Amino acid sequence: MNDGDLFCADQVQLADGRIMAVGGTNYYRDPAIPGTDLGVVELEGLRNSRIYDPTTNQWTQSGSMNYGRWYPSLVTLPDGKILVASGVSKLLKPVYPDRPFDSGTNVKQLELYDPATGQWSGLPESANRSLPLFPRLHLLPDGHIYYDVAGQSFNPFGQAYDEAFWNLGTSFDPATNRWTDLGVPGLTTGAPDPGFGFRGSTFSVMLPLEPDAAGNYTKAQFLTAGGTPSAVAPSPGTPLGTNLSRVDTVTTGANGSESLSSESTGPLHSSRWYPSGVLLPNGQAMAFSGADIDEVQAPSLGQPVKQAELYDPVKKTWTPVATATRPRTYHNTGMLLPDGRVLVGGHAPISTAYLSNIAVPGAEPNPNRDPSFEIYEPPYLFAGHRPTIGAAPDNLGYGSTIRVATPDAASLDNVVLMRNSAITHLVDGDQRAVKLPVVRRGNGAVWVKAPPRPEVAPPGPYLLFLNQKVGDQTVPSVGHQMMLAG
Amino acid sequence: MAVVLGVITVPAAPAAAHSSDPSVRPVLDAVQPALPGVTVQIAASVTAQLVVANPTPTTLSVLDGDGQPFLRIGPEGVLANKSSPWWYLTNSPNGDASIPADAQPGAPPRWERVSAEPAWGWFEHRLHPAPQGVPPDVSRTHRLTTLARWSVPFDYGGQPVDVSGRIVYEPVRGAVTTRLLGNARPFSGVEVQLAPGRVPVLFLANRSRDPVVVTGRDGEPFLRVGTNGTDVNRHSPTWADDARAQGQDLTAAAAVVDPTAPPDWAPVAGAQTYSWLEFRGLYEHDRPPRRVLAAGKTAVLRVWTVPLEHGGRRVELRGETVWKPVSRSKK
Repeated sequence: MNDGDLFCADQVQLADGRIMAVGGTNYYRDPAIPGTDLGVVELEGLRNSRIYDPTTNQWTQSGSMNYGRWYPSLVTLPDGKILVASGVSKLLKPVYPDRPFDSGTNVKQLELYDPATGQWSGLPESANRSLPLFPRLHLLPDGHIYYDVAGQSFNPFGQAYDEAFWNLGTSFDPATNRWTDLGVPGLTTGAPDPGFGFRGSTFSVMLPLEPDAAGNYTKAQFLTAGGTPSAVAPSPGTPLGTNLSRVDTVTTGANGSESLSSESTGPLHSSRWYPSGVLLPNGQAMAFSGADIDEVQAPSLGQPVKQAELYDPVKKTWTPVATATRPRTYHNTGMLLPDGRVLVGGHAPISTAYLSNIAVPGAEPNPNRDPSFEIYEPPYLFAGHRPTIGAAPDNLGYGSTIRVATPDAASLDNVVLMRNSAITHLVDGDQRAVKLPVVRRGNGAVWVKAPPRPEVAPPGPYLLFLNQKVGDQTVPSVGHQMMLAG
Repeated sequence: MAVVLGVITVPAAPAAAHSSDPSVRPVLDAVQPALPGVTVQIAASVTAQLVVANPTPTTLSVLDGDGQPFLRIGPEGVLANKSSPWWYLTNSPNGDASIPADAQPGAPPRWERVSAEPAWGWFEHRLHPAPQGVPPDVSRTHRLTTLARWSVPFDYGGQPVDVSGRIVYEPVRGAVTTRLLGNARPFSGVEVQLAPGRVPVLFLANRSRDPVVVTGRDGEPFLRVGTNGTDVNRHSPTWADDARAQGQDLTAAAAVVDPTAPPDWAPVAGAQTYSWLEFRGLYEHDRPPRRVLAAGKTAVLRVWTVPLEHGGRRVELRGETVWKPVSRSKK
């Protein structure tokens, strides 16, 4: 049973492989005109959480949150509990510049879900934080949650008066229930980066975590590209998509301190709002789909961007690659498949000018929803030899060393563990890839060391990939499904 | 050395409807004859809504395009004519609704109460402009221009009423900018950043040995950022407002606000960084004064200062809230 509209919920994979969808949509009538009791049709976030079990093909209702949330974000913590942040209980938020505290905001309260009990609990007031809808949140290898200065501004109007906070990179400590601000990306050194600060409707992809020489994971990097930058005009701001691309790096010190640095990379070939970002097993990243303008501000009045682009993390440049067959703008999605291909799909624009599903000449050619999917084959699939996994364990324990049978042991470049995707609205709060140290290579096998602790990779389903250099490509194997647990 | 951290906010849309083009919106011109005690407004929403409150003893009916009532607002609350397709269409932002088979134009009315309150808002599609965009000869004028007219008929106790207005083009003529003047590093080891927004946020990082004390709007100590982390003065009204703005309502409510009292320092963060909503930089109005708009030039709307003290020295961070008009090239 799934009671409640899943529209605009977030989703996450639980440690046991089940899928949980949290939040959702309901319409109701609520007073919205300042100083009156006038009724206006309103959109309400739901408190629901429901779990899908792929082994039984059944949904079950789980505990309800304290706050209704439309467009929230979920992140799995090292102990397997799920943190939820933001979303909105009431979408049409009034903004009163002369009395800001009467203005509506997104939900600032954080809540924690315990899979063992199926219940949500609210965190103390010290954990409250103004964040955009679908904030781009990531678990850092020190166990903190980092907000990577991006989200969705579903705001043709009525933006939150406290939205300036969305420009700050900030780190949440679940142990103390407090946030530590790290600064505005792009403003930390030198002249301001033209794309500094918040960017609406860009993806935030965590690049592969790599251990240092001592085997510690002390640095996390996040790639964002496209979207609508705040520096030009914050929410609703400019409707124009950008081609700017940036990598933000959070480095943790020996005493638990964190610092933020940012670096602009080469730009996208095409400016695009709402691109889907996908990390590939070989460390490259891709951008798919989107439109040239913000189609929440101007529904179906933009031009779709169908050509995909490939990011080289060494050269820090984007290269255009193949063009998709169908336009996909708002609500497009993309995810890595276990065989190394990418599944791209979806397209559900808001009705043209919020009125009706008609195509305006010269603009969005498909104003209707498109439930189709396409598969993209990255260049590495055409490089020649592909490494293979002969055998590997299905279960992985923290800090353990495992044997992976492979005829390519001597020539492998690296081994990476990638969390199974659970993506919606460009957001997968648990997206991560962890390079595993190769401790030994033998005849027909490699031995690799699992992540040392759940802060580096929280418990749950992962795909193991072997990467091998073939010419100028780094080619991944087909992924081997594993469950990582304590 | 002046460091301009130029940030821009776009003026919030006025309390009128918003179409996909922010420069196109409906305006309400007249309710004729006037209805004392009845409120008619256009509400900002995902698309335009008409909102009516009728606390008078006379029932007001809203008529569809064929002159048939689909809403009644009055002493009985709000009644919807479930036989009218318009009832269903006006509950949808884009008019894309499922209409029951028995809801037909001209069908015998079937009234059903949908609200006990004598007020209702609906997506009034007669207020929505067609999505063809602004004609080039209009957009080139950069002037307030009427694109179309609309009319919604009411019936008030048997008396015909005409609610009318226009769809207008009003170009975005500029934006409100906040900027921090002076050195972004007012002291050695101390950095300040300004983050853009309707209300700007100031971020302060102190890597030096001495604490930085930020002064609040009433001259009181507000924040202290030092090697032991960040403390707030719980007597500071500046902090109380910021706490409430950050969702710390209980904490703010428990504070004893008195800017003249000796500071009551309490830790809020273990880090040597902190950020806060700087209401001294807020411009409270949706638009600058008419004279500023008419002048078409950059104008300072507000000057604000945030005093800092560090190691016995005092520096005033100086900020400006500025109107920047959109530049237009002349041919």
